[in-house]
Amino acid sequence: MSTATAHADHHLKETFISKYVFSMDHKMISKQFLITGIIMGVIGMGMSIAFRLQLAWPDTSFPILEWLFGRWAPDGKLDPGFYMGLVTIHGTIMVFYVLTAGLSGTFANLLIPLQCGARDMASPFMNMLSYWFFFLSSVVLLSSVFVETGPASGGWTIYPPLSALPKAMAGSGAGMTLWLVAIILFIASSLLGGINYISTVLNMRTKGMTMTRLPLTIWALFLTAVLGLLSFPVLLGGGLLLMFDRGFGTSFYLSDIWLNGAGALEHTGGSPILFQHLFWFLGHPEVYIIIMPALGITSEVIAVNARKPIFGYTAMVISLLGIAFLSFIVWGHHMFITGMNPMLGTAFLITTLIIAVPSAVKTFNYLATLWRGNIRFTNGMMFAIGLVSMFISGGLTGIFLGNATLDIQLHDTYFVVAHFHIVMGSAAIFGMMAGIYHWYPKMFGRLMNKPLGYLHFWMTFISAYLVFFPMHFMGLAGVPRRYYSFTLLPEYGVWMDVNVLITSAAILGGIAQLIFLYNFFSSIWFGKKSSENPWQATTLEWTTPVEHIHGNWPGEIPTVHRWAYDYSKPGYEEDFIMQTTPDDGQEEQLFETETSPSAPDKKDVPEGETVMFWALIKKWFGSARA
Amino acid sequence: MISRPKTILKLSLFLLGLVISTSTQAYKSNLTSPINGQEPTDARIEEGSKLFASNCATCHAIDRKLIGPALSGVLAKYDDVDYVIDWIQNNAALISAGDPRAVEASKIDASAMNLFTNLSDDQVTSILMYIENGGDGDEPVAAEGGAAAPAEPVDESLFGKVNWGIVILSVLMFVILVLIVGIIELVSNITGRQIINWNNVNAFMMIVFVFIFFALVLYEYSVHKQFLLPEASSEHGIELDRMMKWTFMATIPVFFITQFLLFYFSFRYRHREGRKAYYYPHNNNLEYIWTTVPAVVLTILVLGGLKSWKNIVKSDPPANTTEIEVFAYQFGWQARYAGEDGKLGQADFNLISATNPLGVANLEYAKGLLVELEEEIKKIEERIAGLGKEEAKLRSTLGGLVGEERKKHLKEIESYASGEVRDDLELTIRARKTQIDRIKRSIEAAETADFYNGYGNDDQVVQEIHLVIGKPVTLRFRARDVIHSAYLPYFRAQMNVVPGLPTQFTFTPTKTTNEMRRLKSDPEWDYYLVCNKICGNAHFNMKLKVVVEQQSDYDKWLAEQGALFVKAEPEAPTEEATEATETEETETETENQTEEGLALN
Repeated sequence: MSTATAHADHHLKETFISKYVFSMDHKMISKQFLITGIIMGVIGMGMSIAFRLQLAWPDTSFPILEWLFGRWAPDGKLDPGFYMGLVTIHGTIMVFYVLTAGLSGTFANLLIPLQCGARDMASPFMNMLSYWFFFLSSVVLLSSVFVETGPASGGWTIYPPLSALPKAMAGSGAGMTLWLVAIILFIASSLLGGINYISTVLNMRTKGMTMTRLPLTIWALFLTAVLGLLSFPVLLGGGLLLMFDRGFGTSFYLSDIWLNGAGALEHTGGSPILFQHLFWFLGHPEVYIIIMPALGITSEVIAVNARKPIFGYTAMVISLLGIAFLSFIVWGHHMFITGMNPMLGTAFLITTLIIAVPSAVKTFNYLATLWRGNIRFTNGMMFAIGLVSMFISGGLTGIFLGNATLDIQLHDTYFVVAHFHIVMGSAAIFGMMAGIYHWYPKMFGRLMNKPLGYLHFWMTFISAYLVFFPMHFMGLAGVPRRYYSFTLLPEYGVWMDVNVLITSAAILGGIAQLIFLYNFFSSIWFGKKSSENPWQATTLEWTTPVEHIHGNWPGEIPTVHRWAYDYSKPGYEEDFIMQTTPDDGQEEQLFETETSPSAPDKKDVPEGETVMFWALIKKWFGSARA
Repeated sequence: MISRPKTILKLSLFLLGLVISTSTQAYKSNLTSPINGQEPTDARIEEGSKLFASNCATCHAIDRKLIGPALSGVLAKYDDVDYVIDWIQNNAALISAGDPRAVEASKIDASAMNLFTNLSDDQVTSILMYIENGGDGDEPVAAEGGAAAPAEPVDESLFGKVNWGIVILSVLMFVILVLIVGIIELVSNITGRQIINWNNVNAFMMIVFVFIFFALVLYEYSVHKQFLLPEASSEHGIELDRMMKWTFMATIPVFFITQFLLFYFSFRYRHREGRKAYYYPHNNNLEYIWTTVPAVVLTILVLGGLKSWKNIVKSDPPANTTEIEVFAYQFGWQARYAGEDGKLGQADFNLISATNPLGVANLEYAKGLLVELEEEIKKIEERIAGLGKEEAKLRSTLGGLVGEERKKHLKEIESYASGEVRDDLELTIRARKTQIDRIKRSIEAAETADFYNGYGNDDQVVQEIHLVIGKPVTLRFRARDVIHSAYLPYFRAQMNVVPGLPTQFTFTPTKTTNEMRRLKSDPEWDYYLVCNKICGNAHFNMKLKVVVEQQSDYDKWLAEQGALFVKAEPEAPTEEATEATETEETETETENQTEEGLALN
C-alpha cells in the first residue's frame, strides 16, 4: 500500500459511531474487548467475594447482599440455590468472558497486525462482528441473573441431567436456556475471531517476517486461535444436543431418570458421560486457550525487561506446539472417576503427565532468561514474574491431579479449586495484567502510574496466594468443593478460620483491583504521555506512531530483518536492536530471494490466482534463520 | 448496616434458647398444645428430632429458609393438621389432585419435595411436635453430627468480629503511605532527580517475598499437618498414599528450588547502571537436560500411577466381596444389602415409588404399581376435565388484588388460558403411560427374562452402611435423578453415581469405627460417605453414615434389618384388578409402543 492511500484512509470522515462503536479498526476493537473484559472481570470477582462471604461467615447477615440480590439473599444471607448460581456464573464469566475473550480478544487484536506488520486484520468486518457477538453474549449471560428462576446454577461445566431438568434445580430453567444461548453466541464470536487471527498470521506478515522470526506472543496467539477453532465447535454441538434434550424430548444425555415431582421420565438410552466427553473436548484445550496467550505475553515482557533474548526460542515454540497438540488428547483426566471405562483412564493418565514436560521446559527457559539479565521492574515485568511463580505452583499440583490414582482422592475437592485457580486463573490474570501494563502506551498513548501499579501488583500477588494456597490443604484433608456451607461433617469445622482468611484475602484482592481500575481509567486521560518506544523493545508495534492511525504505519510497512529478541547483543552500542534494523550481510539467501523486488506484495495477489500448495507452505513456514 | 433491634431480638432469643436447653424443666413447661389430638411429650419430641434429622434436615431448617421454607409456624400457617400430614407424606398426590394449597406450595421451589409415605401419621406428628417446640435452638442444620461450624450466634454482626481500631489504623497508614509516595514522586518530578529507586525497592521485596512465602507455607503445613490425608482406612488407601508421597517427593523440591531461583534471579540481576545483560539465546545441552529430567521423573510417576490405577479400579472385584448397592437421589443416600440369598435383586427406575424408593423388582409389587399408575392417570384426567372450573375460580378471585399479588394471579390465569397447565398434565399422562407400557412388557417377559427373579425379595434397604473389617466390599452405585458422587475420603474411595450408568468401587476397610474413634479421641466420630458432585441446591447436605465393625456386630445389625418384600404370597385381589386393567389398556396402548430402548431387562 502506498503512502498516498494510507493517508487517504487516515482522512476518511469518521463519526463517533464508526470510530468508537462499530469500529473496524483492530486497535479499537482490542480496546473494546479489553474494557468489556474488565467490566465482566469486575462482575465475576464481585460474585466470588459475595459467595466467599457466605463461606467465611455463614451465620452473619450482610445487608449489602440483600440490597444487591434482593429475594436471593433474604436477611442478608445467600440462598443455597443462588449461591450455586453465583458459583456457576462466576466460573463462566471468568473462563470464557474474561480469560478467553478478554485476554485473547484484546491481545490478538492488538498485537497480531502490529507485531506481524499488517495494516489490519484479514477481515476487519468479521473482526467487528466478533466483538459484537461477544458483547451480545455477555448481555445475554448477565440477563440470566435477572430471570425469575435465577441464573444457571449447575456449575460452569453444566453437566446434565442436572442442567437438563428444570425440575431438578430452579437454575436449570430459563437461566440455563440463556446460558446456552450466551455460549452459542460466544462460540460464534470466538470462531469469527479465530479464523481472522489465523489468516492474518499466515497471510499478512510483512516482508521478512518469517514464522521463525515471529515474536512468541504471536506464536502463542496463533496456536490459541487454532485450538479455539478446532475445539469450540465441539462444545457448540454438545450445547445444541443439550438444548434438544431440554426442549424437544430427545435423549442424548438422559436415561433412567425418576425425578422427584415428575416421576419416571420417558428418556432412555442416553448417556450423561457423553456430554462430559463433548464438554471436556473443548474444556481442556480451553484451559490452554486461556494460558497460552498469557505465556506468550510473559515471554515477550520478560525478554524486553530482562534485556535478554528469550532463552531457547525454538524450544519455546516447540513446547507451545507440543502443548497445543497434547491438549486435545488429555480431556479425559477430568473424568477419571465419572464412570468412564478405567481403560481410558490409563490412556489419559499417560498423555496428561506428558504435557507436564513442555510446561516444565517453558518454566526453565523463563528462569534461564532471567539469569544474568539486567532486569527492569516495570509494572508489566512484575506481573510477568508473578505469572511464572503461579505457573510453577499450579503446574506442580497438576501432576497430582493428572494421576488417575491420586484423582480418586482429590477429585472435586478444594485441591482442584486451588490448582486451577492458580495455574489458569491467577496465572492467566497475571499474564493479562502484564500485557495491559506493557502495551498500555501502545493502546492509549499514555503511561500508567507506576507506584500504583506496584501497589496493585503486590496486593494482588499476596492476596492471590493467600486465597488459593491454603485451599490445597483443605483439599488434601478431603473437603469437597461447591458446598454452600461446611456444616455437613464436624471435621469441616477445622477449616473455618482458613475460610475466614481466604475471604479476607479475597476482599483485599478486590480492593487491589479497584486501585487498578482507578489507575487504568484515569491514565487514559491524565497519564504521562508515552514516547514511541517507551520500553526500548525491538518488535514492530513500537515503530508505529503513538497516535493511532488507520493502517498502523504512515508510510510503507517496515521490512523485518531479524528475530524479535536481539537484546544486549555483543558488539552493539544499544542494548536492543529493532527488528527493522538491517542485519549487515548476515541475512540468509532464502530470505533475499523471497523479498527480491520481483516478488509480489502479499496484498496485491490478484483475485482468483491459484496458489500452489507447496508455495503456500513455503511462504508460511519458510525458514530464514541460519 | 445492621438493623440493631433485630440483632437484639435474636440475641435475646438465643439467650432464651440457652436457658431452655440447660434446664429440662424449662423445656417441659414450654411445650405447645396438643397436635393431631396427641399430647406432646419429651419422648415424642425426641423421636421427632431424630426423624427430622434423618428425613427433613437436608432441605429444611426450623427458623430459616434453606432449600425448602422455614418450618416454624407451619401449623399456624395452614391451620389444618391433616393437610400438613398429608403434604409431608405424599405431596405429589395432593398436587396432582389439584389441591390449591398444594399447587401454591409446589411453586416455592422448582424442585419438588421428596415423598415420605414411609412415615406413619404418628411419626409425622412427632416431627411436627419437634418443629412446634422450636427445634434445637437456632443451629443452621440440625444434622446428626451436629452443626460443625463453630457458630457464634451471639455475635450476629460482622462488626463484632472485626477489630475496627486495627482496620481504621491500617487504612490510615495505607492512605498516609500513598500520600508520602505521591509527594516523593511529585518532588522527584519537579527536581528531575529520582528519589525512590523503584527497581531496587521491588527487587528487594521479591527476595523478602520468597522467604515469607516459604515460611507461611511451612507454617500452614505445621498447623494443618494432622488433617492432611487423614489415616487411610482401606487396603488400597495405603498404596494411594504411597503414590501421593512419591509425587510429593518429586514436586516439593522442584517447587522450592524453582520458586527460589525465580525470585533470587529477579533480585540478583536487577538493573544497575552501566551493566549489560549477558546475550545467551540458547544452549541445546541445557535444554536437553531439562527436557529429559522431567520426562524421566514423569515416566516413573506414570508407571507408578498406572500400576496403582490397575490395582485399585481396573481389576475385577475379588470373589469373596460383599456387594452393596448405594443409591443416590436428591437429596440423600440409601443402601441395599443382598439379604439371605446373597444376591442383589434387579431394579429399575420405572418401578420407583414412595414405598419402593429403589425400584427393586418384584412381580406383585410391579402389578400393584400398575394399578396405582392407572389411578394417577385417572386423577389427572379428572383434573384436566375440571381445568375450566379452576380457571373460572381464579378469575373470580382476581378482583380486589393489587400490586405484586395481582401480577402473580394474572400470570397464573395466563398459564391456564394459554393451555400451559393442560399441556403439562397431558405430558405427565404420556409419561405415565410410557411407564405402564414398560412395566407391562417387563411383566410379560417375566417368564423368560431374569428380571423378576425374586432375588430382591429379601433385600434390605437401610439408611447407613455397615462394613466388616478386613473384608472386601463392592459398592454398586445407582442414581435416581442426576449425577452424584460418592466420596469416602478415609477409604480413599470416590466414584460418580450416574443415572443410567452403573458404576462401582471395591475396597477393603482396615480400621473399625471404634479404632478410629480412639485414634481421634472423639467418641462421637463416624465415617461418612458424602456427595462430591454438584447435584442441586442441597448438595452440601448429603451424607450417609458408614460403620466399620467386627463380623459379629455386623451380623447382629444385619439381622435387625427387615427384608424389602416380606409378603411372599401374592395377594389375589390385587392381581385380578391388575389383569383387568391390563387387558383394557393393552388394546388402547399397543400403538403407542414405539419406544425402542426398553429399559427393563
